[in-house]
Amino acid sequence: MMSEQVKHTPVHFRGKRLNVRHLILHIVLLFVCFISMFPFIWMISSSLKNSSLIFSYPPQLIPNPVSFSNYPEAWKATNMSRAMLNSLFIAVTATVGNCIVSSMVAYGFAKTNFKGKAVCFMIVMSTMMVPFQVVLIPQFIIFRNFGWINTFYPLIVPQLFGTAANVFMMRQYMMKIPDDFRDSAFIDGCGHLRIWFQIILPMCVPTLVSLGVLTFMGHWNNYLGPMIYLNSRKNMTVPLVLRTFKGNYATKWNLLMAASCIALAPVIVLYTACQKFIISGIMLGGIKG
Amino acid sequence: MKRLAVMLLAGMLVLSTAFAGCSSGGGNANSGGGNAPASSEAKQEEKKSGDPTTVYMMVPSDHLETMEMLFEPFHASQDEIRVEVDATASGWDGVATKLITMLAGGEEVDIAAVSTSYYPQFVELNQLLDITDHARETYSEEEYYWSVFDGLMIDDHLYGVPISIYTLVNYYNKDMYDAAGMEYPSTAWGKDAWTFEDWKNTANQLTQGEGLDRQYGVWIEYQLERTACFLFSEGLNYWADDLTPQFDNARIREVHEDLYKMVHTDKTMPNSELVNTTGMDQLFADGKVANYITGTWSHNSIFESGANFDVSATPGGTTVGYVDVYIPMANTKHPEATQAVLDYLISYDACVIKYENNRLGPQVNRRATEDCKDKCFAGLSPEGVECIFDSLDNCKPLTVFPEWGEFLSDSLLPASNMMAVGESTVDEAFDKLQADAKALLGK
Repeated sequence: MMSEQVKHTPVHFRGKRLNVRHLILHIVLLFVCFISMFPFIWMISSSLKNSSLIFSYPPQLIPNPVSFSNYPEAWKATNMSRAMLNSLFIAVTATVGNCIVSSMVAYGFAKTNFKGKAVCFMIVMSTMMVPFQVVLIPQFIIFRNFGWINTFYPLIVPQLFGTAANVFMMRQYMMKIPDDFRDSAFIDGCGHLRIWFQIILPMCVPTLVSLGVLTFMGHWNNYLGPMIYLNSRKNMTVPLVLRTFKGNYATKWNLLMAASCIALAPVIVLYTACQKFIISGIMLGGIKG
Repeated sequence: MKRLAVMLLAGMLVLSTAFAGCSSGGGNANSGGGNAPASSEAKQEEKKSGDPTTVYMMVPSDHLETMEMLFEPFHASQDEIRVEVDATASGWDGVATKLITMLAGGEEVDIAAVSTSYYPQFVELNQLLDITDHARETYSEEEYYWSVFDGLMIDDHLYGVPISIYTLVNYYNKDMYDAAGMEYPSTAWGKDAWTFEDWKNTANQLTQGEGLDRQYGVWIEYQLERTACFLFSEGLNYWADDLTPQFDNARIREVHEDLYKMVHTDKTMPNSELVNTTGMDQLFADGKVANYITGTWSHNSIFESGANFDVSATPGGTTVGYVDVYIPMANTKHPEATQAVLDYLISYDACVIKYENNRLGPQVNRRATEDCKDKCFAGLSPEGVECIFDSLDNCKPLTVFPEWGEFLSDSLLPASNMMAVGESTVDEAFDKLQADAKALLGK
């Protein structure tokens, strides 16, 4: 009875008719959005507090006084500029290489036929189930024998062979592209490499961008790999630098939060710029081909 | 055009990977260089050509600044040894993870900084250099607190030197005592110290108010390893000499029943939710908690919190001592240089640098400690400083064994946390601990 009334009784606000269902939905969404955003807001707020205000009671969302000095202090204390350059270099190189190779492999699985394709695909997919910690020591031994410890090679070169998750997503997307495109290109005299690069890849831009952003974020935030393979201060990446604020016995929360805000900036810019591709790319790639 | 694009892409990848390797350039971590720990062949080559021996040392990231302060004069004073500090791993766990990976991968490490918990594990794995003879010949009783080395002995063998010695002491808020018109707690250790009963009474007297305005009399982190200070003074321990677990001991359980009641029934101690969300240093500085039993590692953060505080002995008069350790690794290719670096790290000069810069805790070097008493532990009265140094003679180390780390993470901490949030009674938690300990140690 009540729901009938809600349904049929129009509510007006400033002369405009309001849809009550939409209103409730928006209130709920705003609330959920606020909860999701709260840690982020708190991080920004803490980055502007001095150390004595960090845990003050009652908590202050808007700090008084505002302490902008945390930002230059965090930047100077940790050689953040060098760490950001290192992280950027590793993340961009690994991402570009990974996306190119993954899409190439995905093309092979999606648009070509060869004996044992299903088995090969299963083998590639099975690598997703092996956690990094399991291969940590064998990989370390390999890279040590190559003389790659304390270089960026161990963080980049494995990515140049593609990753199973990215191969899977790209393959799913490519399978939705009609084979007629490939066949027409064949008739026009194209080889597989040219079809992949000039015909299929341009059609995969949304998936490619979304995978690129996710891969970039993964590398930007990677802590374990750099911790194991990099030894010198000059090679430290952003996650390693952030952890220097957290000691065994005390944590400089205000500086940690300021450094985290700085470290987040490139990711937010990238994510915001590519946001429309990310959702559509993942959704399209996730559909069964 | 398209072919050019492909060529450019391929070229970029090749160039990128080539540049990636450029990060392995020379220099050491201290001077901002980027060498990997030299391979044994490279190090031998280094030695042959008359270059200094490079000692590779791994420490937690928050020790880097201290290491830079220490090794600058060391490098200036001689040109035979250079210390390359790797401070990329964060925390004791980070260092242990990286160290284990490097050792398993055959990479050479000369010295690492590890916590008390990890030290016996590396001894058990036969990864450490035995320095017993060198220590007996070099570290004199006049210059060093040998009781600390004795605490690090495993089967009469020494495998490391102390980074710092930390003890649990009672930090108290003077303003809260003054407001209540109460005498400050005693700085005396041993038989003359205040008792566990005195501490409980103080907790009741200083607890008042309700809700957000409530102030609490005392706090100690509800971890079983911390609360060992209440047991030591009664001659009790969680472990017998032969490592038989004592979690079924009636008196030990009684002490924990009292602590449990103080948190959950009397509420004279703040619960873990309040401490985790507000931070203990802040609660102490804001006058919400009058007595705060913690390690001397918290001193700097308490001082910086702005509290009006001083230090007293822990109830019972015997406290817990924690000694973090610099361990020399057995696979070092230059044990003499490694030993020389260890000698320097606990030398008079190095310990004075640590004291003068308020780094780490009390040091094992007796002469440096006596000369620098007035330079460390900012904010304390002379009696408070004396109380901390007296605690070194009235502390017992935690009983640790090779399986300690596993027991700590899988049993002790979960049990402590369950009791702290009231999800488990003392009897339930201790029954499980007794069973876990017996199963782990085969007792």
